[in-house]
Amino acid sequence: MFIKEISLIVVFYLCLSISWGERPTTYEQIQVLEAELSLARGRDCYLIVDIGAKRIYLKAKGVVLREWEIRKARKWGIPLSLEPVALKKKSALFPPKREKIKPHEAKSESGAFELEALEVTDMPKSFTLTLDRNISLYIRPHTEGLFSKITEIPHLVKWYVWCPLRTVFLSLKKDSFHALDLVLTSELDAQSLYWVLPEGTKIAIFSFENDTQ
Amino acid sequence: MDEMRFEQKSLKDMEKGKDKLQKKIVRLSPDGVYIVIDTARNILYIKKDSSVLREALISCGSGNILEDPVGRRKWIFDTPRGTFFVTSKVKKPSWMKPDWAFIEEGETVPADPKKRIETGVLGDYALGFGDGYFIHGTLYTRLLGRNVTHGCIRVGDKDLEHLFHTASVGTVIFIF
Repeated sequence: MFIKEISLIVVFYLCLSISWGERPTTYEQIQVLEAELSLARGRDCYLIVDIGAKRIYLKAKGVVLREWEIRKARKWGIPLSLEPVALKKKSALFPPKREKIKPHEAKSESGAFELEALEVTDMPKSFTLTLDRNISLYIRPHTEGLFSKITEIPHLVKWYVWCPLRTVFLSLKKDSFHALDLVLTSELDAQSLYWVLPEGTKIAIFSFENDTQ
Repeated sequence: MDEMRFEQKSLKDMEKGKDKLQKKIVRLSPDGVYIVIDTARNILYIKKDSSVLREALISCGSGNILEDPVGRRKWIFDTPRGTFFVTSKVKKPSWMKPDWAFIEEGETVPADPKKRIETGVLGDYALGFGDGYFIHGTLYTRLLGRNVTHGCIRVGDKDLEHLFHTASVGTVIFIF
């Protein structure tokens, strides 16, 4: 009986996921602009994930600072509200580690400083962005070949096992779970997205069929 | 019929509202020249509207951590992110070495402020953007393009000169 209920919940959420991409009404377009205006008024950079345009924009004061192409997007859960949410946590299998400077070793024999740098290529290529309101964004690069299929296994487990379980768990608590699986064009694109997002960054997700920007 | 007219009117109102919101967002963007700093690629752009006027290779913060072995202070050498403004412009700047510069070298922090002054290390020009952060020159031009600084932004001589003459106090700086 319990298994039947769980199956029904999962099927219900899978069906809802299909209905995410509809054209925005004028009212929704206004909501999108209001969301962006609220973000543009601050001094921090913010992120706009526009599923319809297949683009992710990093913006400040309404100015596009950088953009990434979304090669493939999948959605899980009920359609999202247009209200911006904060990035709570970035997590990866191998998160980057900051180097500690040892004062006595900072100067080399030649007298010049040799600083170990934390650079964009040290960032993870696949990672999860946990946002407020039980929203998770799974970011990974597009890969090809047999090895890429093997590296996809943890992601498939996350999508087909973790997402349904989390949905059921939160449904029982009368809450909902949303997830987006975003595949970017290259590894460097994924790494640079990780780089530009300090925790606390505000993110707006527009999941309409056509672009809103 | 009346209902249809009402719907058309409210749709028109909504379209007007949409235009107003779009204009409000555009008004928040900077007028004239502004600076964009990409800390991942270590590139500085001087822009006007959406066109790039100049592109320069730079060095940004290393992200390293330094702990004071005596006290309980800790520094994280990140370049700050967000929206800033040019707050000061200085020709022939001198570096007022902060505590971390002495600690990093394994030296004692001097009590005399005069012993903190170092000349000729910041290049010919410096543009301040708050909290002790500057866009300045460098002696280590071979490190341009790498994340090696303590948070400031190092620029090559020619690009720095151009930037100094293009930007004024109040020019917007976007750092990401």
